[in-house]
Parts: sequence; structure tokens; C-alpha cells
Amino acid sequence: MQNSLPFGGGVNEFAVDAAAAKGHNGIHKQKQRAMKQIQRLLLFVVAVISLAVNAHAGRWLSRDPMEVQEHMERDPHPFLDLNPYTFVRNNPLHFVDPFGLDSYVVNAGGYTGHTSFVVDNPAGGVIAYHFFAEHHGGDAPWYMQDMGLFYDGVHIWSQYANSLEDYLANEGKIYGSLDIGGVGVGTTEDDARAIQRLDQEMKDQEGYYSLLGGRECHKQSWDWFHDYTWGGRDVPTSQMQGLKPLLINGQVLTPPNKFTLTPAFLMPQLPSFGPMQLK
Amino acid sequence: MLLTTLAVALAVLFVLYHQSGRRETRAMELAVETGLQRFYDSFAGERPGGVNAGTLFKPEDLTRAVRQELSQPRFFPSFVKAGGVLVSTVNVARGTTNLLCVVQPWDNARYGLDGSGAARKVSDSELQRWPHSAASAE
Repeated sequence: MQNSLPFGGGVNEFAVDAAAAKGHNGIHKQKQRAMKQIQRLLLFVVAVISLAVNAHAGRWLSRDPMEVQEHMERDPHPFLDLNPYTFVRNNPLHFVDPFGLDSYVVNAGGYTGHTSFVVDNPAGGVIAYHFFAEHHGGDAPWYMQDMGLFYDGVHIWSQYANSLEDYLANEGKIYGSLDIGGVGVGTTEDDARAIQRLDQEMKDQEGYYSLLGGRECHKQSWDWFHDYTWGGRDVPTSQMQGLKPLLINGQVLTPPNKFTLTPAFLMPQLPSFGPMQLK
Repeated sequence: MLLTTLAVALAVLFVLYHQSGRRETRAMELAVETGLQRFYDSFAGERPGGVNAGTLFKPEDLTRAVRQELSQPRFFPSFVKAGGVLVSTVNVARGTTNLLCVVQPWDNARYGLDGSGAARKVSDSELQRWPHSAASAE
């Protein structure tokens, strides 16, 4: 019997040795088999409580704690998706920032409210990108502000804030309830690329706005989010599991904090194990 | 019956969208006000012990800071354009309600930043009384 890692390759270290399983009796073999069972148990424990690394294989053993928390909140069986690489967009060779929670989809006021895309600003703070109907922009008389129901120009604009918390507080003042619908990971380069892309989109903004089959702020913010997290590529649905929305229900203003959202935060009552060197 | 239901549904949609439009306008207004306040925090405190640390804000320092903000925005929302920013041409005492600068994001709205760091709406009459120039003017 041989287990396999998600990206191929065996984990013979943890498997029950085939020869031992075939019945080579003897004290040595029995001890060896017992040790392997203990190793397998330890592997399971370490994988559950922390973002462990198998230094021998050079691979993650556990899943992104962010994703685990999200699963725990909405699903009592958080380990159904066994792919530990979703938090790095299935590309562990190029993305190495497991806790860089750098982009967010913020909804305020539900579906009749407003959704925006927020990205960390490498210069400090955050930048929120908004997608509004042009005639919702305040420069139209009240009777024109409803024209976006059927057809309108788009109005994309950005807003700077000292922090995500400050931005959320302002959105809460206007719309009431708040949800952080999505949390995406990325590096500072990802942030810079997203800002460059969105700034260009602001300059080029043309198009239509229509409730009946057109774009609106909710979908547009998610599109921006997916551009950020996946580089605009289409990916299989199964790979999107790691970036499913982290829902914070009610009017909780506390956003996920990149410094407290650590394995120790998730499992503070358990001792932490360092990366294992397995032989 | 069907027509009545359709009419009611359209009326509900109309009301929802009208409310949505109002709130989006308010979101933009709040973005301007917050941006002005953050600009003040940066401008008033950027040089401790320097020119901005005294009791007066000088128009040349203010104009320089506003132009820098317009060229490399850090506080103003993106819909604030250079042509829509006015700055005071006289000294403004720190802590007073005299206007430092005014942002006009669209035709019928003006938001001012005063010497105490507060952002507020500015009326036509107040704008006429206030000695100012365009921030983008050379």
C-alpha cells in the first residue's frame, strides 16, 4: 500500500511497509511497523493543528488555516477537500505567502447594498475599488439616479483608507451590515499588478450597466477578486474551494487580521509542532 | 392581475434602485470627506517642528501638498480631479473653521477642509466669500 501526495509522488515513509504487511514475522519487523503507525498518527495530528511542512518531501502537509477556518464555520467536516495547495493558487513553486491575506470582497448592506473590492496598497493602507452606475454618481438629478436600472454608463472609482478596518467602518456607516465575502492571498507584486490593472480599467471605463443581464457592483467585485487570485485564468471549480467566501455574519466589524490569523490563533490550546524531518 | 403584479414589482425595483443610488452618492461623499480628513492629518503633521507645525497654514505649502496629492493620490478618491480642487490664497490659522481647500467632485457638491481638520459641505455664498484659487493653476 502506498499513499500519494496531491501532486504525485509517494509517501513511503508513512505507508505500512509492503513486506511487513505480507507477514514477515519477527520482533524487528513488528517494531518497525509499530513505529510507522506512530509516525502516521503524528503526521495526522501535526497536519491538523498547524501549517506543517514535510521538509523531506518539500511539501505542505496541512491545508491553509484560513480555508480550514472557513470550512469549520460552515461545515462540520472541514477536511473534505484534501488539496493543501489551494491557498497558493495551486502553484506552490511561485507563491509562498501563506498568510498574506491581501485582497477582500466587502459587501455592505446585502444585495441591495454595495459590494467593493479591496486590495492592500503597497504604499500603505488599502485601496477600495467601486463599481457604480454612472448616474448613481451624485452628478445626476434624483430622477436620473434610477436610470441604471436598465442602461447606464459605468463609474469605477477608487478610494484610499488607512486600513481595512477604517474602510469597513465607513461602509458600515452608510450601509449598515457588513460581510467580508472573500479573502484572497497574494504577494506585494500581486497587489501592485492588481492596482495597475484596475487603475487602467478606471481610465478606460466604458460600457453599460444593466440589471437585466448586465454588470453590477457585486459581480464586478467578484470578477476583480478572481482576477487577483487567479490571474484571470479559468480554473476548475474544485480548485476554487480554497477561496470560497469567508462569511462573517451579522454586523461584526472585525476583519480577518493577517497577524493573528495564524495556526496558533486557530488552535491556541494545543502545543505546536515544528516542521517535521521525516526519514 | 398580471399587469398589477408587474407594476408593483417595477415600483419596488424603482424604489430599491433609488435608495441604492442615494446610498452610493452618500458613499462617494463620505469618501471625499474621509479623504480630506486624512489629507489634513498628513499635511498638518508631516513636518513636526517645521513649517506646518506653527499656528498658520501658508497657502504655498498647502498648494504644494495638494498638487502632490493630485499627482500621486494617497487620500482623495479617484473621481476628484485637479480642476475640481480649490485652495486658500491666504494664511489659515490652525484650529479655526476657515477653509483650507475645497473639493468639487461634481457640479452640485462642494466639500471643504478647514483649519481644524474638519470636512464639511460648502455653500455657494461661503465659496464666494472665500479667497481662493484653483490648485491646478500654475
